[in-house]
Amino acid sequence: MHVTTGRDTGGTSVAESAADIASRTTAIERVLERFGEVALRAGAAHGLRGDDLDEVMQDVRIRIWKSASGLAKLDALTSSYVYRTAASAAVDMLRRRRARREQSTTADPAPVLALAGRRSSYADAALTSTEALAAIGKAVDEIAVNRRAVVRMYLNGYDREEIAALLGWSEAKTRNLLYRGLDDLRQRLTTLGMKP
Amino acid sequence: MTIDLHDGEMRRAYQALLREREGIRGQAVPLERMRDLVEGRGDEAERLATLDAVMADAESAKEFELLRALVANRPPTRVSWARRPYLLATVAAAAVIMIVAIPLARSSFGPVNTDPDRSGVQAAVLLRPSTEASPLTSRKFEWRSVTGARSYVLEILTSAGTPVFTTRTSDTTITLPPDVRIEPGVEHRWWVSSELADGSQRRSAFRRLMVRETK
Repeated sequence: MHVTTGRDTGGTSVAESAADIASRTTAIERVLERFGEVALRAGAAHGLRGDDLDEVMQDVRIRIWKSASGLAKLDALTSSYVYRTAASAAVDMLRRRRARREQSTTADPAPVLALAGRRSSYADAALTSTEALAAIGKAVDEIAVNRRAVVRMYLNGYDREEIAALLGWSEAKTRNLLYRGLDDLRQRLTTLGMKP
Repeated sequence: MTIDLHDGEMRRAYQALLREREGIRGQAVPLERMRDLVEGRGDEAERLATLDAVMADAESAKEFELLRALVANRPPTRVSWARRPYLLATVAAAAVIMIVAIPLARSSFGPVNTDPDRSGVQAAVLLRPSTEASPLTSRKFEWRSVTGARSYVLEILTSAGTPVFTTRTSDTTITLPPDVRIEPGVEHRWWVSSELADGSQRRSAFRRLMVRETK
C-alpha cells in the first residue's frame, strides 16, 4: 500500500509505503537515541538540562525527516552528518532564546541588580557577605589573560582533563597554567583582605 | 572578610557569584565564537578570550555546555600538527624511548617485559568488570592467575591517563575501597601487571571501563 504522507519535503510531496515510513522512523530514532544519550552523559556533570537537549533533538529529527528523501539509507547516516545537524539546531535554538530574552527586556526592562548591599542567598556559612563574592570576581578579573580563562573554567566545575581536551593542550601545560592561575588568585584574595 | 582559599570553597564562591549575576545582562558571547571554541577552531588567543567571556557569565556557560555536550558525539577529526605542536614532541619523545631507552633499560636492568612473553608466561587475562558496568559491579576487579606470578599491580586510569587507583596484591581479585570513586559516564581504563619471581613484569592489555549512571 502506498500513502501520500503530505509531509513537506522542501516543496514536494512524496508517496511512500507505510512500511517505508515506519522503517525510516525507526532508523532516525535509533540514531538520535544514541546521540542524545552521549550528549546528556557528557553534559550531566555540568548541569546540562535534559529539556534543552530534547528541544535540539526534536529539531534534528525534523531536519533529518526533511532531508531524508535525499538520503539513500538512513542507517548509513554518518555521525558527522548527525553532529553537524545537531550543532546547527542547537545554535538556532540558542539564537531564538536570546531573541526572546531581548524582546522581554525591551517590553519590560528588568531592573539592573546591584551586587553591592545585597546579601547572597546562595553563599554558605563561609561566604555570607556579597563583599566576599565581589572580591572573588575582582581577583579573577585581575589574573593574566592566558591563565584567567582556565581558572574560570576550573572554578565553574570543570576538571583538568576537560580543560585540556577543550583547548587541545597537554596535561602538563594545563596543570601548569591552572595552578599558577590559582596561586595568583589566592595571592590577590589575600591582598584584597581575604584571610585563609 | 574571611574565606577558605581551598579549591572547593573558591569554586563554590565563584559559582555563587555567577548565580548572583544572573539577573544582570552583560554582553552575550556570539554563538559562532562559542561553536568555534568547542569545535577547536580559531587561534589560541581568540579561543581563550571566548572561553574567558563564556565562563564569566552564567547564561553563556549554560549555552556553552549544551554545545560542548553535543561535541561529545563528533567523530574524530584529523589533528593539525601545527595547531598542537606538543603532539609532535610527544611522538618524537615516544620514538626516542622506543629506539633508545627501552633497549638500554633492558640491557642495563634485566627484563622489563611488557610485550607478549616469548618464554611462555602469559599476561593476566582480565575477567571483570566488563566494559560497561553498574556502579556496584564496577567495584570488583578480577583476573586469571598467571603461573609464576608473585604479585599483581592493578591500575585504574582515566582516559586521559590520570591514575585513579593503584594497588599491589598477591590475590587475583580486588574490591575498591569505599573512598575510591570511579566517576559514572566517564571512560576509564584498567590493566594488571603480573610481577614474576625473577623481577620481570607481564602487563595485560588495557580494558575500557565505563560505569553506568544511576537514574
